[in-house]
Amino acid sequence: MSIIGNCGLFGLNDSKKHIALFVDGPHIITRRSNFDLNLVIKEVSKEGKVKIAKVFLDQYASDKLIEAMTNQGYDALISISDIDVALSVAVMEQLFNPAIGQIAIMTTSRELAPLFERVKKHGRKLILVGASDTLDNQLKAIADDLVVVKHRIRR
Amino acid sequence: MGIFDFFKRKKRIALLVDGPNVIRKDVNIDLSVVRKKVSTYGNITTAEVFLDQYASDKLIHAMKIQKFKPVFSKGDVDITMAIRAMEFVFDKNIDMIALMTRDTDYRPVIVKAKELGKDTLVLGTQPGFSVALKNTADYAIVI
Repeated sequence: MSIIGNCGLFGLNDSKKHIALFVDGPHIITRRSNFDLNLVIKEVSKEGKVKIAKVFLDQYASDKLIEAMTNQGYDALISISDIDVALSVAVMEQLFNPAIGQIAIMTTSRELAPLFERVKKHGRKLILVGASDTLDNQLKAIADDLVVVKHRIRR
Repeated sequence: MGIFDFFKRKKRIALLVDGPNVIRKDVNIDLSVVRKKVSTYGNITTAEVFLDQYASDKLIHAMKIQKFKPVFSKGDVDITMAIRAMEFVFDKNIDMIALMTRDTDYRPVIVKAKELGKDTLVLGTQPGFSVALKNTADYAIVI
């Protein structure tokens, strides 16, 4: 194992750039709105390396959707109830993971504002991901950075 | 009880109460009874009750008298309470996470707490006490 590769002193330990990405399935994957979640990873990757990518789905998610998420590089996590707590628990866990320096959350739900505030309090860089016309203003105000991705609107 | 039990440190418990879910006018909850039941598992080092914007001054005062620290949320309390619970999960000075709620939504907190070596206790009232919560936590008490 390379000594240089493990030596933080020379600034070569780049875990600060490692990103954990969390997607709020019920608010993002809707009948009206269609995102290319593979493109989301690519866009977020401009901020750093995406090491964790999780999408939270409710119990109504189809097998096809779960398979599609997995094929696009996400862990698909199913909740039998509201996904907000499951997503919050997963984010909180990463705040205590020294291998992750940035948290990216893709959501339109203002209910997650307390989570956004806690991420900032823990000193992690917080990235809000979404479409320009659906990003919540309160969440935008808390986040350090925005990653805007396009979506197709189904009429 | 074996001879070595005398030397075991009592578990340090963080007790969190989902106010809107379990403290309701139609259900008469005596929080001193809750404290007594939880104390059979160890020492309650912190007791917090999560309230929304509809909590009355009378309720807030009653919580303080019962030595529960009120924590306020603008909307639903579940995310605020889950975040706080997770901070205790990573707190080396806490051995047990006790949640007073009937709501299945908190199950991920219990799962993660157990994964990371904490003991878990759920307390709730009937009707509507989540079967998933009761079967996931290490201990369950119906008040």
